[in-house]
Parts: sequence; structure tokens; C-alpha cells
Amino acid sequence: MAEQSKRIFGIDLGTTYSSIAYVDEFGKAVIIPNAENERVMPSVVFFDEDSIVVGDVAKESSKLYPNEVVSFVKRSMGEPNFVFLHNSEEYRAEEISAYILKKLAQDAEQYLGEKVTDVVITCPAYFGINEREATRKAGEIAGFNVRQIINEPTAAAIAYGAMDTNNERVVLVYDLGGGTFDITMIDIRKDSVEVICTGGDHNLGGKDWDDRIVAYMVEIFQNETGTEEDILDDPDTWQDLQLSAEKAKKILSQRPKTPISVTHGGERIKMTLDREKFQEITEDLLERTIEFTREMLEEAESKGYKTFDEIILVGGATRMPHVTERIQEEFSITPKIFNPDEAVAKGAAIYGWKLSLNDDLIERLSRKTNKQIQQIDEISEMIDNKEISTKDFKDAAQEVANETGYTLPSVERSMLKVKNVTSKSFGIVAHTANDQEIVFNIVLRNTTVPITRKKTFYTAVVDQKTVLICIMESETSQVEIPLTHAVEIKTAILNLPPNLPADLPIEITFVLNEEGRLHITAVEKAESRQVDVMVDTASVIQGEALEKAKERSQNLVVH
Amino acid sequence: MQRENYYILLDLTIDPPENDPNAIEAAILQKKAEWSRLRNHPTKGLQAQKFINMIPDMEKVMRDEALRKQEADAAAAALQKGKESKISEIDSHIDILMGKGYIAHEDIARLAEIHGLEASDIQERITAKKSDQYIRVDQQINLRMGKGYLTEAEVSKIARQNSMEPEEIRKRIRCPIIKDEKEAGDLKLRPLDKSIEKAINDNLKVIGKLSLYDFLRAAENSDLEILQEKAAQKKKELAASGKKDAMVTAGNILAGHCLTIFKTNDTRIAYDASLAMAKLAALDSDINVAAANSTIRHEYVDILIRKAMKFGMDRQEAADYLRDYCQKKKYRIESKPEKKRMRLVFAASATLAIGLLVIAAVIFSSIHKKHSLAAEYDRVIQSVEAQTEAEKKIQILEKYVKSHMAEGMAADAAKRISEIKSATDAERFNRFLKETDALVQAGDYQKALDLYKQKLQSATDADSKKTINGMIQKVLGLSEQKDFEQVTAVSLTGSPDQKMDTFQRYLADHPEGKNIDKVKALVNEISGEYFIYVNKQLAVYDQSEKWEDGLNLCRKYIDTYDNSNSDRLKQLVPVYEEKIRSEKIFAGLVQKANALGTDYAGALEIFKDYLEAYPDTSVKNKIQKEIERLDGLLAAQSTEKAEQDIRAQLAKTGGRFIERAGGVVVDTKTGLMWGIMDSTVTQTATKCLTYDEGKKYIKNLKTGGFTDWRLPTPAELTGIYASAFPSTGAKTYWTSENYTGYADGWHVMVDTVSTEDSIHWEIIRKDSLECGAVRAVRKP
Repeated sequence: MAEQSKRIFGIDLGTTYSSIAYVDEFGKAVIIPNAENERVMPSVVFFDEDSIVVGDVAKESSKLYPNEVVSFVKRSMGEPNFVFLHNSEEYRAEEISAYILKKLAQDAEQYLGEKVTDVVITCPAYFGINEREATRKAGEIAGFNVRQIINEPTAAAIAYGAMDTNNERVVLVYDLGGGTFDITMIDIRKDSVEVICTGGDHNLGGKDWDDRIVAYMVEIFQNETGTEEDILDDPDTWQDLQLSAEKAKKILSQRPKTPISVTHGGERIKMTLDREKFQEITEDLLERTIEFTREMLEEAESKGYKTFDEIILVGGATRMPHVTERIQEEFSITPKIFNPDEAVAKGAAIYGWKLSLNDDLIERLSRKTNKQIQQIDEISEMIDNKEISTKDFKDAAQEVANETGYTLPSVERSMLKVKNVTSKSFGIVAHTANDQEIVFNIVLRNTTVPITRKKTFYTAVVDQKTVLICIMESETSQVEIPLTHAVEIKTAILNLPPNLPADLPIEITFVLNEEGRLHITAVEKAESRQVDVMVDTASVIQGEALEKAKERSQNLVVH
Repeated sequence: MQRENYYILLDLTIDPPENDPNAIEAAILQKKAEWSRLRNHPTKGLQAQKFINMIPDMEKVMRDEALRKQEADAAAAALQKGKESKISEIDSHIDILMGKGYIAHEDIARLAEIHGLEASDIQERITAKKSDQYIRVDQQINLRMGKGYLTEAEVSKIARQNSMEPEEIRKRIRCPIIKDEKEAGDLKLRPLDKSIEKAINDNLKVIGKLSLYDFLRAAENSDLEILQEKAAQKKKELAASGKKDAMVTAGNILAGHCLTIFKTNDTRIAYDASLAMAKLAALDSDINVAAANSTIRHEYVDILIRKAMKFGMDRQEAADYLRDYCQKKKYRIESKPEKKRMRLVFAASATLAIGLLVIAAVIFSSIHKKHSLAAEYDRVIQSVEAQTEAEKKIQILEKYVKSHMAEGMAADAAKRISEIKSATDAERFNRFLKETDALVQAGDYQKALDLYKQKLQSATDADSKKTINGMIQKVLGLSEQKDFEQVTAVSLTGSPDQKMDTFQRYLADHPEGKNIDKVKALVNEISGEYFIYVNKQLAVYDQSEKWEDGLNLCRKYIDTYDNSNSDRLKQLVPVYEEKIRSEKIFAGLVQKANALGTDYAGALEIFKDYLEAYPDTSVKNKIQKEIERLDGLLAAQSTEKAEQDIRAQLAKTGGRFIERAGGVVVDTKTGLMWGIMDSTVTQTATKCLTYDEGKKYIKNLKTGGFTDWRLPTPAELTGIYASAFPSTGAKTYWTSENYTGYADGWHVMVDTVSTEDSIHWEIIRKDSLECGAVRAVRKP
């Protein structure tokens, strides 16, 4: 076999479990088990004296060393004030996530005997700009070249679509993971995977079901022992109950009842939790997912999608039988449970694989057509526009196929288009006619990305030096909304040249790329000068802290 | 809603306020880490997230000198007045007043001020309840709904009491109405799960609401559809908000609860019942407060009954409730003078009302300022008396003295301070004696002694010192007596080691005990008996290789006795020491070997080298075991490597052979299943198999969990090798084709598939006793 094209790995960085996948020599997506031979690894990090342990061992350690173990860190991604203290060193969520990524990659390297350099990482569709940026940073701290951040439901749909490429259909991806819930409508076609609409809650997941069991156990314990003490104040007990609750939930997905025991302060209470009780104490959570689904369907309808062909269930928490039952009751359609733990990582791997094949194709086409590599971006568009001849393309594809050993159709299909929508609306703080501050949304949510939108502003005074722009993120589809309904994500300062008149138009351009990342440019219109824009993401690790985290990570082996 | 005070939240000292920037930063970091850790707590997570979200503002306030000072003042004010606890007290009282229905405009304004709400919010809540009369009716209904149903008798009783038609009452009842209590059993009521109730209350607390009705801003008797609608609307409202902070998350969770609870009448009844029970809990806590010494004074009885009546009970019910509750809690109710009853009732309710006003006045008067000195001092004394803790009383008085140095009342205040101080000192000392006495009574002499000694160091006056010294002597005597009793008991029945331990403990604990000579004599008495025990025990330790324990036991005997036995044991000491040394060396070797990781060959070298240098070492057996283990690992490692090599080669066959779990490969062309490994890889000891051994090998093969493996036919075998199936280096494979060479059947010939160069394979007939390998096949 000739020179291998660069392998791009797919990583599902989950709230409770993570996994890594690649596409093997036969073009099949394969999960790579870790050193402990698990296909999915708990996203738990244990700071053991001077080494860092990730995965099952860390999770088990949480009972013994509750204060040295970090779990569910994904829920704090992009939260500037989350900090984990260990040996008086401060760790941010990004850095802790980097350790999880590192462990996945390290074990994969051992398994395959090849270096992991380029990765595609997934995140919930519902993640905003800060959380996405934080996810990318986590990858960088771990030392990867992060090729793209893609949405989990999109990845799942890619994995699903890859199984059977002939059938064009609209699917609803109901993704109930460990910590987040996403509901996404996706149009799968022969040559594209297009997200129509998305919604969800990044504080709703399997863990909430666990928490209900924990609360229930505490209640029973208090009743039986007559104590009024909050036994969850004891970190050991808390962790112990949290682990037993997760176990109980999993057992209840298989069997009608499970015994559980609570041990605290030398007292031990045994109880039985049956499925009926479990469903009773968690009914409202399930109801919320249904409500989100209804809302999303309403929005999809306004985009012309009135029906869908199937519902696929992704995420470990969809294994709970009442999820399927409730969905069936609500939508009168039997949902398909599709590889719930592995679909996302596999989809990301397939996406990465296509990226790398596409790289090869572009390189070859550039040699054939004497065009710069940078000039070739959308191959299919260029074929349509006759910028590239069909023959050149066929030849290039055949060459790539010969060289990599993959079949010609799969190389040709590597041009699969993935269209995404933004899950949030973006706008800026503006003043109304009666000088009230509002948020003016420039890009509305569920708009297909990439997108470029322009808006003209005017300077207020003569010789104005700077313009401060507050970029706001929100979750409505209205154009004008009150300040309280949005959250500031970035501030940009326009430095203006001196001696400008007042009321000078300045055109601000919002460019939202495929990944939902925002870039801003501004042009001063009178003399068409490009104006400097400084943008900083408010709450993501940066500067000195980022450098320090990178350095720490470089010298670190995780176990 | 008023936010938490940052000084209090950060646990900073308030009097005097902490002003050291480093200390404040450290406190913020500490709390940040603590809240981050609690971020995913099953019940406190949202609270923690709320605090995390407050950090930017907290940092702003605490880093700015002026804002910080303001914060410190507020903290001091809150602390001194015990503001928070008082407000909740007033809250509960005013809740009752509001229930009565006759609330004046001033009351609303005050309520609003206390809650930090707009007066219109309060008004809205009140008008939501349609009319004043209905409020009382609703209360009576709600109270009885706690059990999940109402009886016909109760309905007509409520109707009578409010001079209304029973029909009208029925309209307002949202739970089943049954004929009599007997029917209750058939209802199969499902109460709201306690954990759900707690989750709802926790989240209501985060957003500062009283109930789900309050959360939806709906009247408690709204229709289900309206509640459903409001819940859905609320959820949309919350979804629109871009800030996903704790408040919104809590709101989302509550909206979810509303959607399920207000879905059916049953679940709603369950929730209403739990609300009713919670109201009674407030009454219970009032009773608990009144029962200071497990006795309820007769003055309180009427107040409590009035209070219970305000919850919707009639007088008889209230009295019954109070009686039942007190019986359950074992409180005694003082009987009351019969004559003055009615007046007392009025007086009591007047007292209650006045009390409310006084407390409210104390809280809010500081805003309205300007009082005369005397009145101010009176107020100070009032607030002092309102305090139950002496320390807080002193705090208040000291602050007064400090700020009123030259004025007349300062002397009086100072006098009060010293009175309170000496009273509390005496009380504290008495409490101390009582506590320690309880320990002595319980036989916990050591703890009592520790406490006495501690106290002796901190005591300043001679009297207390003398008392404590006396107590110490007394306890020492008691403890010696108890221990000697144990010595006597053990010396009769105990085993030699128990005896030794007990005697030695006595000697160590009571170096001046009055029975010390007797105990020493007992020790000498058991020297022989104990020596026998030591020898037996040493044999046990030797067996389990606990050298350290053996050494300690020898030393213990040697330290206690000086006789011929101890001389014998002295000779054992160096032997044990040598064994411990060898053990350490062995541990060192293991560590060194482990450090090599999967370099088993290197590890093997370490153990072999040592054994060669010290062939007679006492850890020889252990080393040999280690060598065996490593040999095994090394073999497994080479198998694994071979496996990987083969896998890499398989990948080059263009998808014809696909690996499945369990070490098998499927030929996509023929459908046959092959083992990845052949016998040369899996049989580490002998690479060569005769034909008979090969057949035996295949019979026992369980690769991939299958047991129906067989020898391949020559055609099957050449078929795969012609398609570049990976070679393991074996030159000859046995097939299923065999022939008897001679008539007697002794000599067997077999068709083999053999190669010279691992590329070209051909069928060659060979003797069954020759060297061959086996590659297993089966039909899936």
C-alpha cells in the first residue's frame, strides 16, 4: 500500500462517558477500546497524589477520595468560575477535559501503534459559542490538531446514514446523554446530511435520573433511621450513593426491580426500588424532553418540515424502557434504538475520514488543474461551475482509491456535505428610538450555517475613538429582545482612525462558520477602511492560564 | 429577592470586618473550589451553581473598598439583629394573618417591604383568592385534604360554620369526597413521593417561591387546564431567557414538575395534600418552640390553639391536635385557671399582635431613625432581652458602650455586661461539671480526665482549679479501681496474652496505683505460661512469614522478663532481623522489576541474577515463583505480538478475511471460520505436534467459545494460503486426509500442506510422527 493519508480520529467527549473511534482499512468505523478494554470510558478524572488517573479506576476511587475526583466536568465547560483545586494548583474545566482526551488518545495509540494527531471532537448541538470554544481548547491543551467540532446528533446521523446510503429520509435524533439532552431534526440525503432544527437543554441528562434515585434513597434512609441529618453532606456517602444510583438505574432498565443499600455513619438500610417507583419520581424529567421535542417540531414546521420518517434514539440514557414507551405514546411511531453509546464517536470518525479523503482529493486536483490548494474548497460546486472537469475529478478519485485501498464510490462520497444550523441567536446591544437598551439579533437560531450577515451602525460623536460592541447570545427566534433574555459572550472594540465625523456608517459583519464559531469584521464605509476588531471570548481559558495548562499537559502521562 | 451577604457567604470575620485583600481572595478561591465541587451534588447542585454565578459580582464588591465597607456594615447589621431568623418568623405570622382575610393596606406594604416585593405582587396573591370568605373555606378544606379525601360529615360541618350551602363547598373541593372513614381504604391514594416533594421545595427555595401555585402565579383552586397552560407558558418563557443560570434551571425543573403534577387530578391531590401537611409542620414547629422544658405553660395553650384555628381548624379540633401532638412528643400541658379563659384568649391574641408589631418595629425602625437616648437604650435592652445567647447580648451591649462612652447609660450597660459574663461563666462551669460527670457516670474516665486537664489549663480562679483537681483525683481513683477489677477478672480466666496485655496496660496507665505491687507480682507469676504462648505464636508467625510480628513478640518478652527464657528468645532476634532484611530486598527486586513495565525479559533477568548471586537466600521460593510468573507473561506477550503481526497481514488481504471477536477470522469467500492462531503460537512449550497430538489439540480447542473445530481438508488449507493468508512461520500443517501405510495399520501417512518459503504451499504426504502444526477450521 502506498503512503497512508493522515488518519483523523473521532472523539465523543461525553458528560459521563467518552469514547474514540477510527475508520479501519475496510472503511468501517470502529471503536477503539482503552487499556482497560472498555469501549466507552467514564469521563472521570482522579488526581492521585502526583499522577492523574482517568476512567474506571478514577470512578471507583470517587468513593474513597471524593474530594480528589472530578466528574461531570462537561457541565461546567465554558463556565469561567468553575475551578478544581488540587495541591493548591487551579484546574479549569478545559484542562480536566483535556486529560480525558489524552487518556483516550494514549490508549488508542497503544492499541493501534500509531500516533493520534488530528481529531474531530463532538459537542451537544445545544452548546453555545463559549462551550464550543472551550471544547476546542480542551483538544488543544491535550496536544491535538482539532480539525473540527461537530454536533453530537449530526455525528449520530452520519453514523446512521452511513449504514444505508440509498434511503433518503428525515429523522429525528433524540439524544439523551449523561448530562445533556438534544433533539434534532436531520434531513439525510445521498450526498448531504442537513440539520433542519435543533433544541434541548444542556442541564438535563441521565445524571438527573440518578439524582432522583439518590434523593429517594436519602428519604428512605431518613425515614428508617429517624435521623434528620442530610447524609449527602458527607462526601463519601454522596459519591457512594451517586454510584449506586447509576447502577440501580441501569439494572432497572433490564429488570423490574433492584435492591439497593445505603450505608452511612455505621447504619445500613436495605431497600428495593421498582421500575414503577423509578418512573414516578422521574416522570417530570421525561416530560421535559417531550416538551422540548414538541417545541422543536413547531419550529421545524415553520421551515416547511411537517413530518418525519423515523426517530432514532442516541445516548445511553435512552436505554430506559419508559423513554421508548413515552415517545411511542406521543408520536405513534416506534423509535429505533441505534447503537446508543457508540454512534456519536463512530459518526465523528466517519466525518474525520471523509475530511482526510477530501484533503487527498484536493491535493490531487490541485496538481492536475494547476490551481493552488487554497483555491479548491467546495469540489462539487467547482464541478458544477465547470471550474474542474468531471474527468479530472474521476481520475483524482480513482488515484486516491488506488492508493488508499478504499473503493471508488466511498472516495467519491467523501464530498458528503454536512449542513448545520446554529442553536442560538446572535445579536448586539443596540439602542431603540426612545433610547432603551435592547438586543438586536442579527443571526437567528436554527439558521443554516455558514452564514454571513451585515448590519450598519453609526458613530455617535465627532472624532469618536472606539466603538464598544457587546455580542449577545440568546435562545429566541425574535429579532428584538430585552437585555435580560440574552447573555453576553464577547465584547469587541473597534478602534477608529482619528478625525472622523459623527454619524459615520460602520458596517459590521457577522460570519458564523460551520462549527457555529463567530468571526466579526468591521468596515468603516466612508473611505472603506478595514477597522481593527478585537474579540475575546469572555469565559474560556486563555492567555497565561492556557499556556500553563498546555505545559502541564505536555509533561503528563495519564493512567 | 434579597441576595446573600458576601461576608456571610464567604465565612469572613465581620467584627472587625476582614479587610486583608489576600485573605479575601483566598476565601473567594476556597469557596469557588467548594462550590465547583458541589456543582453536581444531587440536591445542592443548583444552590452551588447560583453561588458560582454570583462570583463576578462578589469579586467586584469585595475588591472595591467602598462597596466592601457597605457589605460589611450590612453583614454586621444582619448578624446583630438576627435578622434572617426574625424575618422568617414574621413571615409565618403574617401568613396566618393573611389567611384570616382582614389585612390592612399597611400590612400589605409591610409584607411587601419584608419580602422585597412590590405591593402589587402581594395584592395579586390576595385577590387571586377571589373573596375573603372563600379564603377561610379554602383553608379549612386544604387542612383536611392532607389525608387525601374529605368525608361528607366534614363538608357539611364546613358549610355550617361558614353559613354556606354544602354544594358551594363541594365546588371548591379538589379531592374525592367519601361517605365515611371506612371508605378511605378503597381510595388507594398515592401520596406525592417525599423525594419529589423535597426536590420541589429545594428548587422553590432557589427562586424564592412558596408553592408551585405561587410559581405559576395561579390561584390554588385554578382548573387543571389553566395550570397546564400556565406551566407550558412558563416553560416557554424560561426557554426564551438566554441566561442559563441556576434560577432558570430551577425554574425549568419546576415547570417540568408542574407539567406532571397538574396533568391529572390524582397527582394534583397528592401535591395539595403535601402542601397541607407542610402547613401543619409550621404549627408543629411553633408547638416545639413553646414546649421549652417539655412543658407547655397554660398561657401558651390558648395562643397555640388560636394559631391552629387560623390554619382552618375549629376550637375542638385544634385542642385535640395540640393534645395528640404533645402526647406523641411527650410534652406536658399545664392546666389553666378555668375562670379567666375568655379574657386570656383575647389577651393572648393581643399579645401576639403587639409582639409582631414590636418585632417589626425593631427591624424597620433603624431606617426611620432619630429617637431619644433613653428610648434608644430601651431598645437596646429590648433587643438584648430578645437574644437567647449570652454572647450576642454582650456583643450588643459592648457596641452600645463603645459608641456611647460618655453617656449616662454606658455605666449601666457595662454593669449588665459583667453580670451577664459572670452568670454565663458560672453557668458554663456548671454545665462543664455536669457534662463531665455524665462521662464519669458512663465510665468514660479517660475522656473526662482529658477534659478536666484541659479545663485546668484554661481556668483562672483558684476555686475552679481546686474543684477540678478534686475531680481529677476522684476519677483517677475510680479508673484505677475499675482497671484493677479487670486485672483480677482476667488473671482468673484470661488467656496468657490477654493477661499480659491487661497487666501491662494497668502498669502503664497507673504508674502510682495502689495495687501496683500486686499487678507486678501477677506479671511474674505468668512468666512460664506466657513463654509457652510466645513459642506457639512464633510458630504461627513463621508459618505465615510474619517476621516483623515475630520480632516484636520476642522483644516484648525480653523487655518484660530477664530469665533463661528471655535469653533463648534473644538468640532468635538476629534470625528474624535477617529474614526481614531479605524480605525488604525481595520487595526491592519486585519494585525494580515492576518499573520495567512490560519488559518481562528484563524483569526476569533481575530475579535470575539475584538468585545466582545468593542461591541460599531465604526468599528463594518467592523468587522462583516470580520467575515462573514472568515466564508465563513473556510467553503471553510473544503470543500477543504474533497475533498483532498476523492481524496486520490480514488487513492486506483486501477484505477477504475479516476478524471477529475471540480470535477467529471469517473467510468471506468460503464462509469458513479459521482461528487466527495456529498451534505453533498457542502451544508455547512444544512447537512440534505429531498427527495424533494435533488431533488431540483440536479436540480440546475452545477458541472464540466454539468447540466444533476440526482439521481442514487439503483443499481448504491450500485455498486460504493461495490468497495470502498470513503465515506464522510454520512449514507443515496437518490436514484431515490420512492413509494407513501398512496393512497392520501401525504406520499412518497424512496429507500435509507444506512450504519452503512461506509463500508457495503444496500438498505433501508425510509420516504422522513427523513435526507438524495445526490450523483449525469450522463451519459457522
